[in-house]
Amino acid sequence: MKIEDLTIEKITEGLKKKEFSAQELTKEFFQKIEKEDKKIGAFLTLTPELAFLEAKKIDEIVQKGENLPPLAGVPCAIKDNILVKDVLCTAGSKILKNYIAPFDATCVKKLKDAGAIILGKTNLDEFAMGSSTEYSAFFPTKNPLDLEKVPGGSSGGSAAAVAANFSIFSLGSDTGGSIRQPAAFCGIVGMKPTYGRVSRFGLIAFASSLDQIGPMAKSARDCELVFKIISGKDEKDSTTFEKIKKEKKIKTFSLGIPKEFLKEKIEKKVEKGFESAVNLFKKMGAKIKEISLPHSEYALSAYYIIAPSEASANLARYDGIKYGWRAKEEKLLPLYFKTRETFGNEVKRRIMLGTFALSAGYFEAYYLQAAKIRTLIKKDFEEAFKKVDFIIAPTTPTSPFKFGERTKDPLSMYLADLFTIPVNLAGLPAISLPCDRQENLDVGFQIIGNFTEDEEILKLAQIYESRLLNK
Amino acid sequence: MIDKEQVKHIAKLARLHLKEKEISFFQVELSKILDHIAKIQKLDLKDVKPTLFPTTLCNIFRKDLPKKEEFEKNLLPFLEEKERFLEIPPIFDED
Repeated sequence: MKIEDLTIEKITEGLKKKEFSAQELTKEFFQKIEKEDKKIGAFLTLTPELAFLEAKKIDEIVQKGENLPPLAGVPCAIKDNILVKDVLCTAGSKILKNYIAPFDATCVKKLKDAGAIILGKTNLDEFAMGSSTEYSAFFPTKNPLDLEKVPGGSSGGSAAAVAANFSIFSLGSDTGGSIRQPAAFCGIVGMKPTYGRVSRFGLIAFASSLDQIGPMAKSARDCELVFKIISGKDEKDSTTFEKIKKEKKIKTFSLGIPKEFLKEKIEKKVEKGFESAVNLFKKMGAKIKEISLPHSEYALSAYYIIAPSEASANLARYDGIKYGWRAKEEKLLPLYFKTRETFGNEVKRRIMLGTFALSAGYFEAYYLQAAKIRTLIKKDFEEAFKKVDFIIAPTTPTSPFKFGERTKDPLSMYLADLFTIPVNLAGLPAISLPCDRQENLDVGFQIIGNFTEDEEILKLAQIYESRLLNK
Repeated sequence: MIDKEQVKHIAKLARLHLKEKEISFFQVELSKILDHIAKIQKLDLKDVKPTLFPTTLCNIFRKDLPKKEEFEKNLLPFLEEKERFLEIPPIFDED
C-alpha cells in the first residue's frame, strides 16, 4: 500500500479485501504526519485517541462481515474553525486558544457516522481571514509543493494536509475563496458548494451570508463522495435546503469565459495554465463562449465591505465572557478591551472596517451600497447562465507567492481572491482543480455552476480529470 | 483619508483598545482600503434592491418541542464557575 496512491474507493476495497485494517491505515498516516509535519505545519491539533477509537469500530464491522459505511476508515483532517466534540477549536486565534468544542458540527457528525477517521485539526488564518495562513496566531503553514511559498488560505492547513498526503481529504470553509485558492496553490481539488447545501452549524462564523463548508481532496471524485455525505438540509441551520432540481446529464456543454477577468493583471504562468485547460475542453467538444460579468470589477470592493461588516458583528461575541480566554480585569469595560487586545492585526483591521461601514452616517454609503452591488453581481451571473452551462476562469491571478511578500500591504493580499469572491457574493457553487498534473500543478482553474448545480460541476471536473489522465 | 479621531471612535465602538502607535497605523491602513473601495460610491443604484443573503428562503418554522441535548452541560464552557453559577465581573458600578 502506497499512501500517496490511495483514494476513498481504494480504501473501501482494501478494507473489504482485508489488505489492511483501518487501525493499520490510521497508524501509517500518523507516522507520516509525525515525521513530516514539522516542516510543513499543516496541523494545529492531532486527535489520535479519537481516530484509533473510530478505526477500531470500523475494523469490528469488517470482522463481523457487515456493510461498511461510505467513508469507512478514510483518514481526514478538519479545518480548525469547525467543531469536533471535546477537541480544541482555536480558529487560529489566541482568543480561543483554550476553547474545547462542546459538540460536533453537523458536517463532522455526518463524517463520523459515515465512518471517516478524523486525524486532527488544520491551521488557518485567524478566524479564516487571510489568503496565506500567515495570519494564523500560531505559525504559518508551508506549501508542500515548495516550502519557500505560502499554501494559500485561509484553509491552507487543510490544503497542505491533502497535498502532503497526511490525509485523504479535508474540510475547509470558503467565504471569499478560502477553499479554492489554497487548493489551487497546493495542486489539489477544492469545492465551494452552493450557499445552503452544507450546514454551517458548528462552523465558527466569519461572514454568515458568505461562509460555506466544502471538501478538499486530490481528485474531484473524492470531493464528490465527501460532498454527498456532508450536504443536505439541517434543522440546526435554517439556511440549508435540499436540492429540488433534477441533476442534468452532461453530454455536450458550453463554457463561458468572463472577459472582465482576463482584463485583470494575470501572471504569465496562470495565463498559460488556463489556456491549456481551455484547449483541453475544446478537444472534448465544449463550445467556448466569451461572456460578460459587467459588475465583477466592483466585487472586491463590495466584498471588503460586506464580509468585514458581518465579521464585526460575529466577532463581538469574543468579549471574554462567553468563550475562551478572559483577561484579568475587575470591571466589565476594561475586561472587554483587554481580552480583545489578543486579536491579530488582520482581524482588528476587518472588525474596524466593518464597524465603520455599519456606523451612523456611513451605513448607506458603504454597507447598503455594497449590498446593492451584490444584487447586480447575482444578476450578471443569472444572465450569463442563460447563455452557457458553466463558467470557467483562473482560480487566482497568480501562482503561490513567497512568505512575507504580501503581509505588509493588505490590499495586495486581498487581490489573491479577485476571481473567487464574485462566486461567494452570488452564492454559487464552484470547484477549483489543477490545470494539469505536471508543470502547472500549482495553477488552478475553477468551474462555476449555476445555483444548486453542485453535482454537475463535480461531474464536469471528473470528466476533465479523466481526459487529462488519458491525454 | 479618515482622521485619528475617527479611528479612535471606531475602535471604541468595536471595543478595541489601540495604543497611540496603532492609531496611526490603522489610520493609514484603513484609509488605503477605503480609498480603494470608494469606487462603488460612484454608481447610481437608487433603484436597485439590496441583497443581504444569496438565497431567498424566509421564515423557516419548526414545532416548538422540548428536547434534551446531550451537550447541555458544556454548552457554555466558561472559565470560572462557582457552584451552580457562572462568574462574570460586576456589571454595575458601585458609585
